[in-house]
Amino acid sequence: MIDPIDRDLIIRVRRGETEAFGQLVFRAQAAVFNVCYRLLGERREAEDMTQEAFIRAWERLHTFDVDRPFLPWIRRVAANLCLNHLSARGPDSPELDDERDETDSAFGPALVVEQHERSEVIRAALLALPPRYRIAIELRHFQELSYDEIAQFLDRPLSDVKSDLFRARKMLAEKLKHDPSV
Amino acid sequence: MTHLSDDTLNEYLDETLAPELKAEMDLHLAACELCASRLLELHVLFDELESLPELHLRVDLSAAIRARLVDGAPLPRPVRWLALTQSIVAIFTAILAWPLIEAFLQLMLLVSPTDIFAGATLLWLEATASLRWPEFTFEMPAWGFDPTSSSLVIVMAGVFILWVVANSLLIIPRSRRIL
Ligand SMILES: [Zn+2]
Repeated sequence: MIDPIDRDLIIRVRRGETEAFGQLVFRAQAAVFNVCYRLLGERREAEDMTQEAFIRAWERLHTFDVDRPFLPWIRRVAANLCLNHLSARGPDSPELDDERDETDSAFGPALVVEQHERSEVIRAALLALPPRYRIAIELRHFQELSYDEIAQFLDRPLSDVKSDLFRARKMLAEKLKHDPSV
Repeated sequence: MTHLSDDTLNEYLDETLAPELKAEMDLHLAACELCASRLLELHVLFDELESLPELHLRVDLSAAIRARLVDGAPLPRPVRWLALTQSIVAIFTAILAWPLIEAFLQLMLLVSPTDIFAGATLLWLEATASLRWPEFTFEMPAWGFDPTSSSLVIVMAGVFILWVVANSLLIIPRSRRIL
């Protein structure tokens, strides 16, 4: 599933065209931002980390295989940076930014508010997880990596990865059960 | 009846179980309400995570990122020319100074540093005094100084300064990029 436009842009970037990299950023930035936001919970911080992820990608683009899709790669780069950032930041849990103005109002306002509140509860529950559990959820559920891929990415034994992921789910389920705002 | 473990339920939903094992689980789930409800609970969580909406990015970051990349972009032409010039000058200087270097290397093996310095200067002056330019009809330009005298030292100092300046120009824009 290689996007031919991404592929073309990457080839141009390798020839030194920063303009093409700008286009690549434009296409992928929202997805990368969402990775960072889910892991960090602060808009400003997530924007900064998104920038860092693209700078890192720029520096390493020569090692990137153009016959593989770009988006999963840059999302993993972002996850890795956020994980490092989280371990440097320490155990404090940030307040979730208020995203009240975000949702589309295709449905009635009551439903929108309800759905919105639920997603805030889910985000808060994710952020309340210890970072290693949070990253396991991110990689499995949002980036759809297999157990083996996660183990390889985190450079940890498969058994640890599975135990983290399953515990993370258990904790999440409990948190969400105790806050059934829908 | 042995109930299904949490791990098995997780692997069931992650679709990582071997087909025989999955068939076994299906049988159990059809018969056991408790395990079926545990599975459902986990399934609800999967659905909730999947339904989490993507947020909009309020700012376009591409301009800011591109601005940061300017530091990493190819060096401006004058700096590249300066770097090229400095290498040519350095090679030329090295050729000119070879008698001095050679004398130095010989003395290094023999005597004390002060002797080396005095001796090397003497040797170099002797060596360069007898230095002959190749026989082709090459006219030394009127430099305004004698290349065998101490004025050569001044030229070398100048080259050294040029070298330092050019290298800092090469290094500074890169070091600013290191995260
Ligand atoms: Zn059972």
